[in-house]
Order: sequence, then C-alpha cells, then structure tokens
Amino acid sequence: MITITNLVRTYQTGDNEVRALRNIDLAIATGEFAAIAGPSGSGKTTLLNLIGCIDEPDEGTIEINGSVVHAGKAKERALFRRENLGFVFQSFNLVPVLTAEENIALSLSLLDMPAAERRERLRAIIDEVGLTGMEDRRPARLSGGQQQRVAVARALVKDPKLVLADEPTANLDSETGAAILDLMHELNQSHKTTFVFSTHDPMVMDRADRLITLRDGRIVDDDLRRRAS
Amino acid sequence: MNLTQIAWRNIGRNRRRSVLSVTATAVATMSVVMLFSLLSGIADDMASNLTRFYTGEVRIRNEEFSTYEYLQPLHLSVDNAEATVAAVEGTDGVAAAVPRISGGGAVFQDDRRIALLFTGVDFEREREFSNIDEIIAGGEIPVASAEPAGPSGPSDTSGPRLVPAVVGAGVLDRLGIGLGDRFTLVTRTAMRGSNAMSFEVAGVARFPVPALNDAGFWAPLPDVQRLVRMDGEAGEVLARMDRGADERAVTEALALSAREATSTPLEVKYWKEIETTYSFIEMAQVIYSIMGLIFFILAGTVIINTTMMAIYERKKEIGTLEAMGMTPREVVRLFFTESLFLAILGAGAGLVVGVIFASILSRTGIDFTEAFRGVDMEISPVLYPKITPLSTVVVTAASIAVGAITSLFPTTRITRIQPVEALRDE
Amino acid sequence: MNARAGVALAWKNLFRHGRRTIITASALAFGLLVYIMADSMLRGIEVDTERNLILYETGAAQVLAEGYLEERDLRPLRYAIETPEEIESALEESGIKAVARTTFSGELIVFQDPFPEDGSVQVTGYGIDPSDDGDVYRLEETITKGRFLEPGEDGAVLGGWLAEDIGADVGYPITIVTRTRGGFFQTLELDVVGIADTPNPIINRYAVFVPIDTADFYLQMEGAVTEIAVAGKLRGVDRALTAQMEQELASFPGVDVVGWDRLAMDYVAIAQTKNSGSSTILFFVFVIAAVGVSNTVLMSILERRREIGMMRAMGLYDGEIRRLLLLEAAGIGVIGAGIGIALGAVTNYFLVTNGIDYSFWLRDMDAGYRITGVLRGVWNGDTFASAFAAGVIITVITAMMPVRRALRTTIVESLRTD
Repeated sequence: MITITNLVRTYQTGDNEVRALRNIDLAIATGEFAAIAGPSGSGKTTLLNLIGCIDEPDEGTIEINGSVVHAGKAKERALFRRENLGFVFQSFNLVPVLTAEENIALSLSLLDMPAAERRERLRAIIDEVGLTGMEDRRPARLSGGQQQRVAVARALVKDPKLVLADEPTANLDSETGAAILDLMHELNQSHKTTFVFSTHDPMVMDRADRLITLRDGRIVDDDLRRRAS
Repeated sequence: MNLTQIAWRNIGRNRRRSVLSVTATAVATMSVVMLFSLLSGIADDMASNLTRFYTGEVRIRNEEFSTYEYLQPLHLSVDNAEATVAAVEGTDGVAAAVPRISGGGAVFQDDRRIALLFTGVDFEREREFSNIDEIIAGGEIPVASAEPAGPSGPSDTSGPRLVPAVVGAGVLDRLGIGLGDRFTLVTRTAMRGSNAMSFEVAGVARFPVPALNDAGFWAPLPDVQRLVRMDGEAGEVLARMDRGADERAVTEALALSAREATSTPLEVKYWKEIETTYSFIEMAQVIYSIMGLIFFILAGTVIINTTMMAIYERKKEIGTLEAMGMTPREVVRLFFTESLFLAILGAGAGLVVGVIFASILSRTGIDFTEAFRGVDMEISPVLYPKITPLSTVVVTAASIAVGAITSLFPTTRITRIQPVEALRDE
Repeated sequence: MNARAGVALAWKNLFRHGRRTIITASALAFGLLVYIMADSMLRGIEVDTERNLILYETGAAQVLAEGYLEERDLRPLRYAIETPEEIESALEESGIKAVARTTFSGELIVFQDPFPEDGSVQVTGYGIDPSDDGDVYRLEETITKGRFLEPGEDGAVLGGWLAEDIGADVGYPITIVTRTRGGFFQTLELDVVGIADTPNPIINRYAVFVPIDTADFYLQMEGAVTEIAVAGKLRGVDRALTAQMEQELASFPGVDVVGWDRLAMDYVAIAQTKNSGSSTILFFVFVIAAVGVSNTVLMSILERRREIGMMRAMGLYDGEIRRLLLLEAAGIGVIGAGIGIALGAVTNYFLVTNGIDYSFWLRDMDAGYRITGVLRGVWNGDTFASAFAAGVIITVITAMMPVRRALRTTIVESLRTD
C-alpha cells in the first residue's frame, strides 16, 4: 500500500546539515503490522512524518495506494490525512478541554456522515479500546495508558487505511505499553488497518510482524517475521 | 463536536490570559462608551440651549442684521412683527413661534456699571416655545397685558406700574437685589439715542446657560419695544418645528409665509446652518473618535499578544489537529473564533459597565461649574451623558471588530507552519 | 556569571524572538508616543496662554488698591491707586520694571459713515503710558496698521478683531461712553490711530487703548490709576517676585500685590480640569501599554522554562537568573521607550515648528484659554525623560511576577519534556 522510492530528507540546524534520510526505498503491504526501529537520530520519526505527509521530502516519492501524497498543497494533504490516515503520538496530544469521547468524536467530525452512524462508531470504538465508563473524563483525569487508548480510538474511529504511531509506548510503563500494543494488534487484525510504528522499545520490536531497522538514515535490516494474514 | 464549542471551551483553558484580553477590551470599550455618551449629552444640551434661547430651530431676521450683528444694529429690524409671527405660526409643521428683541444695556449702582442683556419676549408664546415655566425659580411669569406700563398709555413711562421682568438668578446676585426690587436699565435705542427704563423683579429664572443666568433678563415685548423705539418691530422671529418634521421643507414654507407678512428683506436660516459654537461639537466628535481609535489600538496590541501566546502554547495541538486532517484554514478559524468570543465578552462587559456608569451620571449629572467658570459657550455647567445608539452599539461593534481583526495577524501565521514543525518537541 | 556576560546574554536573547520583541516594544512605544504628544500639546496651550496673558493682559503681577480685586470684573474706578509714581519708583529701584494703567469699561459707538453701519459694542478701555508701557507689555510690537499712541492725544488703538468686526480703519472717529470716577456720564471722542493684532484673543476682541493722561482727564482720575503691572517670568507664577514686591511695598498702605493667576481665574479653572481629564486618559494609555508589555514578558519566560531549568541545573544562582531576565525586560523597555521617544521627538519637531492650525473654530468662542488658533508643541526635557523612565520601569515591574513564578518551580519540573 505504501511505496517509497529514493526518499531523501535533509535538515538545516544552524550551520550544520543533517541528512536524516538517505535514499530510502521501501514497500509496505496492506494490513502489515510493521515497526521501524533504530537508535535516536536514525531517522525513524522523520520517515514516519514523511509517510504521514506532515513533512515534505527533499527528493524521492511516497505513494500511498497509488496517490503521491506530498505533491499537493497543504489543504489537499490535510484532506488526504483526514480520510486515510490516523496518528498516535508518543505524548498522546489530546485536546485538554475535551472529554475522552469528544476527543475521539473530533476526528470523526471532520468527515461527513449521518449522526446515527457517528454515534454508532463512537460507541463501538470506545468499547473496543476498553474505555467504557471513562468517556466523559477529560485527559487530566485519565492515566497515561487511558490517554493513549483514547488516542488509539481517535486514530481508528474513522477507519483509516493506515495508522502511524510514533513511539506509542515511550511514555508508558511496560505493562501498560504491552496492553496498548496488544490493543493495536487486535485492531490491526480485526479492521485490517495497516500499522506502521517507529520505536526503540524492544518489546514493541518483538511484537511487530515486520521489523525495519534504520541507522544513519539508511535501512540496514528488513526482517519480515510473519506474513500479514 | 463543532468549532464553536471547542472555541468556547478553550477560553476557560488559560484563565489569566483570557481575563487579560477581556479586561483590555472591556476597559477600552467602557471608556469610549462613556466618552461618546458624554459627547452626546453635550450635543443635546447645546442644541437645547441654542434652540430655546438663541436661535430657535429656524431664525428669521432682517437680512442685514447678521453682517453687523456685532454692533447691535437694532434699527435693522423685522417690520410687522405680530403679522410675521402669526404667519409663521400658521405654517404647516411649525409647532410654535416667538418674536424677540435682544440688546445690551447697563445698570448703574453708585459708580459701578453692570452690563446686562435684555430680551423683549411674548411671555405667553414663550411658555410654549422655550418652556420657561421650567426655569422659573421664584416669583412668576408676568401676565400679558394689552397695555404697557404708565397711567396715560403707551408712551408714558412715568407711571407707578413698573415693567415686570424675569431676571436671571446670577444677575440678582450681582445687583444685590431680590424679588420685588427694582432696577433701572440704560441702553441705546434703534434711533441711536439712549433711553432708560425701570423694571421690577417679578420672577427669578435659572437659565441653563451661565452667560444668560449672570447677565440676562426677560421683559414683555411691548415695553421693550418702547424702550428701544421699535414699535411694532422685532429683532428676530424664532420658530420651532413639529417633531419629525422635514426641516428643509418647513423652513422653506415658513420663509414664504414670513416674506408675505412683512416688507423687510429677510434672512431665514435653519439653526444648524447658523455659525455657532455647535460646530465645536462636530470637531469634538472627530477628536473623540480619534481617541477612541487609540484606545482600541492599544487594546488590540494586548489581543495580539495574548493570541500569540495561545498559539505558542498550543503548537502541539495545532500540529495534532493538522495531522488528523484539519486544514490550516480550519485551524485558523478555530483560533479566530476564540479571539472573537473574547472580543465579544470584553466588549460586552465594557458596554455593560460603561452603560451603568453613563446611566448613573445621566441622572446625577457631572458638575463642571468650576471648570467652566470662564467659558462662554452655550453649555450648561452641569452635563448629563446620554446613551445613544452611537455611544453604545457602534462603539461595541467597533470594539469587537478591532479585537477580531487584530487577532487575525497572529492567527493567519498558523497557515505557514508545517505540521511537523508544530509537533516537534522544543 | 559576571555582569558583562549577563548583559551580553540578555541582549542576545532579546533578538532570539525579534518579532515578539518588536511587537511589545511597539506597543510600549505607541503608548509613550501618545503620552508625549498629548503632554506637548497641553503644555503648548499653557505656554501660549500664559505668555499671552502676561504680555498683553495682566503682566506677571499687579499692584492693586485694596478692594479692587473682588470687583475686578466690573472695572470700578473707585478703588484706585492714588500715588502711582511713588510705587513705580519703589519697584524700579529694586530692579522690577513697572508700568501704570487705568482700565475702564465702556460702550463704543460708531456711526454709519465712515463705518459700514451704526452700532455700539461693549469694550474694555486701557489707559496706557506710551512711553514706558513696553517695559511690561508688548502691545507696540503688534501694531499692524497705523501707529502706536502718543501721550496726551485723543487717539485710540483698537484690538484687531474689534476693528474688523465694526469695520474700523485708521483715521475713523469713535465715541466711547462711560462714567467718570465720580459717577458722571462721560463721552470720549477719539480717532483711531492704530490697530493691533495681538496673539491674545481677549485683547483682540474687546480692547481699546488710549493714552493714560487722556483717560485720566476724561475719567477724572486726578492722577490715580487702577493698576500697576510688573514684568516677570513668562511661565508659571513668580512667587519670588510677588514676595519681593510685597516687601518693597510694605510701607504703602492700602495696596495689594497679586500674581497673574489670581487675575485670570477663568484660565486657571479650565486648565485644571483639562489637566485632570488628560491625566485620566494618560493613565489608561499606560495601563493598556503595561498589559501589552507584561503579556509578552510572561510569554517569553514561559517559553524558556526548560532553558531556565537547565541554567539552574548547571549551577547558576536564582538571583543571577532573575537579574538576567529582568535585564532582558529592561532591554525591551529600553528599546520600546527609545522608539517611543524617537518617534515622539520627530512628531514633536513638527508640532513645535509648524503647529496645528485651528483658528477657524476659535474665532467666536471664549473658553478661558488665550490662544489664537495655532497650537504649537513645546519641548520639555522632563516629559521625554519621564516617558523613557516610565517605559523601562513598567516593563521591569511587569516582568517581576512571572520571573518569580518561574523560579519557584522545581528544577525537575521545568526540565520535563511535555
């Protein structure tokens, strides 16, 4: 579903030029549960950002289901993300003034659908991520794990083709982290949504069906352990 | 979950900052509301004083009088005064009309010369025209008598009956006399000679204009006509129109009627066309508008600041929303809506406080007597602010507009941030 | 960290967020600019008025007979100074320039031919000594038509607006009707010898000047005068002068010394109101400028929470950090105030050299101020200095609270990456 060709991304920090990604070629199939691993500075977050078209490459192309996502203007890219992508962040990034349910509903509100369907989807996803009973709480009153569940629900409620998760377990203890990962794996199986992570958490790397390792902006290893079913 | 609800919730997010924005807008709005209310009050006051005591709503004079007004040219009068007044009164749209003769004279006490302004009036008509009952503070308004003073008729000034006068309270203080006392006025006549007449203080008036209160008195027209040798003539005829009348049409109509009644070549003018200190009001309006603008600009800088702060603090959120698929423009709209709410809250609060103060003051008035001591304008010393659509609705709308527009400066910059930059950890 | 490094760091930090610094500085600058302009104009009005009062109407102070001051509005002749020469000498000997004048009120009568129309108008007559009136007053310099007065002649100099209003020209005959000191009617038949255009609207509108000996003759003053005016400072009331005068004249019974302010109560009254009105406005200007400034300062400190935590972790004392941040705030204040002052100076230059012309709406108005329609600004070092100081102080004071709060958080908290 994702085809990356000759991707290059360089940053300027002051006088320095940082080559975050050097000529990456990569293909990810639909339904995969893939992790991009590597030490810090290896470029994994950058790669994720580029796939998610919240950043623009300097060279190369990224195609998602045939569309070259980064070519359009900000508005077109936003619309693409709206309809096709879900994000999960390391620091949850929930809107503090909205309740759990409202946070999830927010991502749905960007799409056109009848109110009944909206309500139905909300109820279903809240149930699936195990937040029933907590949906009226604001993030301040939720634990880290619960907040991340909200984030996952928010990403998945619109049934995206692709979910990008940037170090989703980094701010969670190992038990909670494992629970979240299990949740995401389940959703990957049940919804057939493609999941791509970036991580340096060994537990996550272990659970991934495919492990892509980056170092210094290049892919040094690509290990497909389990085929997507 | 729509934009408005989110925007509303976000206001409570950083209470101190929202309070800051709201307060700045409120203070600016309140100040300008009160300023304009005061100005409206002054305008009304001046208009009332001018039309009651100086120019009426339409003023009819001998067309040469105004050119030499400075010289008190009584001989440049309006002939057939009574017929002219009647003709004007009969015109459609005219509510009341009066004849008047005004001039300056002096009262001598020992060797002190006290200058006074006299006005010969038709008291009956004046009750309707200038509502003099309202300003009488003692004694009474002289009853109209067909015959002027003097036992042997019109030209006899030696009679025991003195001419009754309604005298300004300040005049009585200056002369050191009271109700029932008499004083003698010396003046120039229309024939350029001089004449004198004795008056009895029949009534005391509190004229709203200090100049009149301290130096003016009113006496029956027939007696004044005799004093200045203007039998049957008037210095001017003033008219008031019905409420809501078409000024231009009525002025033209009464000019026609007046010109038929007298052979004197006339100048007929609507009061706003006469050069008076009323033009000061127009200038004051400009000045106040400028001051209002300055206030709003200053408040606007506060809003720019707070908005910038809010955007900065919520950068990650902006990035997240854009990652979720909100377009930059939609994000801008969110922040703009928040600023708009704050502007409305601030302007609303300022409006309410400003109106409360202005209402209170409109009842108690602001006493400028001390400040206006040397001022010679037709303004009463105690002023009452007036709440008008201009001073409230327009000011509030302007305030909200400025608040909303200034918030656009920082918010539109959001479109230039890449989502990835916004999400970055500093 | 030593002082120099601290200042250098503070300075550099200012430009990290150039845009925000500029915006804050601008808000401050704008507020100060308004303050400077308003102050300059108000002072300009005051300076103008006082000058015009002193040089054309009242002198710096006057010697009056006891009882005159209370009835001054009526211009009574009965309270007069009987021995003016002695008083003048006494004052001149102690270095004070003094001139005698006799002021009276009367009615000016004109007849058609050569005047455009018959008429009369109330005027104030000033009997002046042409030979030494210039020691205190500037009337002679303002003669625009004809000439100044000569002693003993039956001539008059008219105020410019008065002449214009009645249509007078040099050579025209006028009649003034008044009363003598004894209370008898008197007519002065005079010829207009000159017309004066003074900067003082009261004089222009109402004044008729005649030689003092002529006035003395017609008014039967027998050598007495109504006032002796002295020269002095053109701005403010010279208390030293009045004190000196009181001392010199202690031996003369029956006379009072009054400063010009007591002779121009109408001006004093409205000047006070205007001042308090504008003080209120300026207060609001400051409040809003202060809010704008504090906001930005707050923001920049919040933003640098982590950096501050880092510095503390590195071992900088809290006091040093506080100094650094306040120095930055002062820096913004200096920049903003500097811009405000610079702009203020530029606009003030125009205000002082060209002024704002508004004579058209003054012509028919008496409002206590003696101004003739061109408002000029005034250079006042104090205003600029205080504006600058205020700008810097406001900024520093508004920074103090957020700085204190920033330093109260624990180091760990401020280093957290969330």
